[in-house]
Amino acid sequence: MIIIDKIAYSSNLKEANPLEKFIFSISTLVICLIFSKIYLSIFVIFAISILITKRAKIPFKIYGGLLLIPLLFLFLSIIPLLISFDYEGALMVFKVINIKFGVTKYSLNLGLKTFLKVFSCICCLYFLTLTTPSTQILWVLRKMMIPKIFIEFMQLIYRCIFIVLEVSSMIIVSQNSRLGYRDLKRSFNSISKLLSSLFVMSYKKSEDMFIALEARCYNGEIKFIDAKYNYSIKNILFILFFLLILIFIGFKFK
Amino acid sequence: MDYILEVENLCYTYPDGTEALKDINLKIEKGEKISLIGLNGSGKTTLFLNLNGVLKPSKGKIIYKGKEIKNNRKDLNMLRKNVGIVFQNPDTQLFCGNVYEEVSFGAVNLGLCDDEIRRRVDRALISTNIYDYKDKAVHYLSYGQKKRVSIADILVMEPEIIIFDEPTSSLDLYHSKQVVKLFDEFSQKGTTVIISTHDIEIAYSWSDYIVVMKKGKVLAQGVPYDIFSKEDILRECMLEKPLILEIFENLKEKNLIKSSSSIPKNKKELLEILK
Ligand SMILES: Nc1ncnc2c1ncn2[C@@H]1O[C@H](COP(=O)(O)OP(=O)(O)O)[C@@H](O)[C@H]1O
Ligand SMILES: [Mg+2]
Repeated sequence: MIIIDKIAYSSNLKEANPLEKFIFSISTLVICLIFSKIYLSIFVIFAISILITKRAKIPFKIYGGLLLIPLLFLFLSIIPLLISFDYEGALMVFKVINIKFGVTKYSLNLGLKTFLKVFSCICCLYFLTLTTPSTQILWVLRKMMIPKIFIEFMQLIYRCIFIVLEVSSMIIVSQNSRLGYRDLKRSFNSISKLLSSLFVMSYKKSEDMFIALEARCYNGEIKFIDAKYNYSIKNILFILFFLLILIFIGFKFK
Repeated sequence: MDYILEVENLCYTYPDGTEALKDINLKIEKGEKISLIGLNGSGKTTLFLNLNGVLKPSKGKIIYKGKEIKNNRKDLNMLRKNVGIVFQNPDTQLFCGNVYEEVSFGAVNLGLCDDEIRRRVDRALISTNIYDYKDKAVHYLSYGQKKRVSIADILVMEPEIIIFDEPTSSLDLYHSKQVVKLFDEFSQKGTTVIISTHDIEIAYSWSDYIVVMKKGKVLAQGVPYDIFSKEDILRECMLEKPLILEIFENLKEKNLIKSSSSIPKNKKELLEILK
């Protein structure tokens, strides 16, 4: 998550209005889900991948590497869909210890459709996360009138994750430099110390942070003003056309 | 004389029984540049938190512009609005992901209108030289940049007094100088600037007034020369004499310079005398 957040900051689309990016990726995702058509999914996979690598300028190597993780799980979970016990008229029949499995035309079609549908949705979500840093996603959520308490929580969690990570990596380095992870027994010991000191640190930090908030007239509600993002007519037109094309493909093709 | 902030017989005891401040008396003039020096644990941070109203004095009182601060929301908010603290560690102060949002927090709490807030945020970002990072996440900034964000945080509130808790510790020499330059800019605009520091060279050359603390007490206060020329104060507080002053006094003792020459505050003034 943290690597992805960093990549998003280096993307070429990070300045674009987060709402545009959000609407673009989420509506594409919804259209893919609703139509659930093979050609539509293929089109979306290619179009979004091109947008990510060419428009947002995320190196293909990074994007491909990130895709591999969910694709692996996707492959594994598609297998049960492909196989059925109904082997009459199947294209292929396997036999494992007297039990026969078959891959029918119907199951093949279903598997392929599901695979492509999920793949296209993954691409849509990657488009959002690779072009939109977390702070911008929070900005979008705020615009959508999600209850304030959730957003304040996410806000603080997002910041605190980094503090905890930083402190924990510092403690681990310091333990390592004194041979704290030399063998299994010592490793367990060090990890338990790490966790307990992280807990104490979190408590202290939260107190300090509260004091710092109070010093700036905090009174029960975290309020601040958002950065302003300009709407780009060009992007909005592009999104509209893209969505129309998707709907067209969805109705016309299989 | 009108004082902007007065502290009378201030005592503070932490809930765990640590007596962090014992009978502090201070009078601060408007527009003054004040340095607080003292070893670690001498109560500087605790004093600052009392001055800002986050900690409530166990005894004694704080008087802002002639008005005693009572323990109610209105007075405390007034004090917090007018006395800003830049904390020592920017990581405890910065809580937003995004720099722009972070800096706007204080201004929004003052209940200003949106246009005014945006104007102030932009101004604070520009004067601390971080405008280019306004859309960045704070944790991807360097320490020096975070420090400047934490200063901008306070600038947007446009307080009458700005307190910096050990601003130059863990900054490199270049950035320390930049920060001191910022202090001068603030004080030229009429803001009262209070810093705590271990850097006696900065304390000596920059400040108008010096307060020396030890174990929760004010040991000495006065203009820099009065503090640093008294051997007994220096010894008791384990301070060293600033280099400029030491050289100057030595030269004067050996009659190498006129005894009537004015006391130099920095390298430039010393070289001027030696011409
Ligand atoms: N939250 C706290 N609880 C209890 N004691 C504290 C707390 N913070 C600081 N102290 C104690 O108060 C004294 C003054 O601390 P502090 O004001 O942080 O000194 P300085 O800023 O000059 O280093 C120290 O003895 C310290 O141990
Ligand atoms: Mg301190």
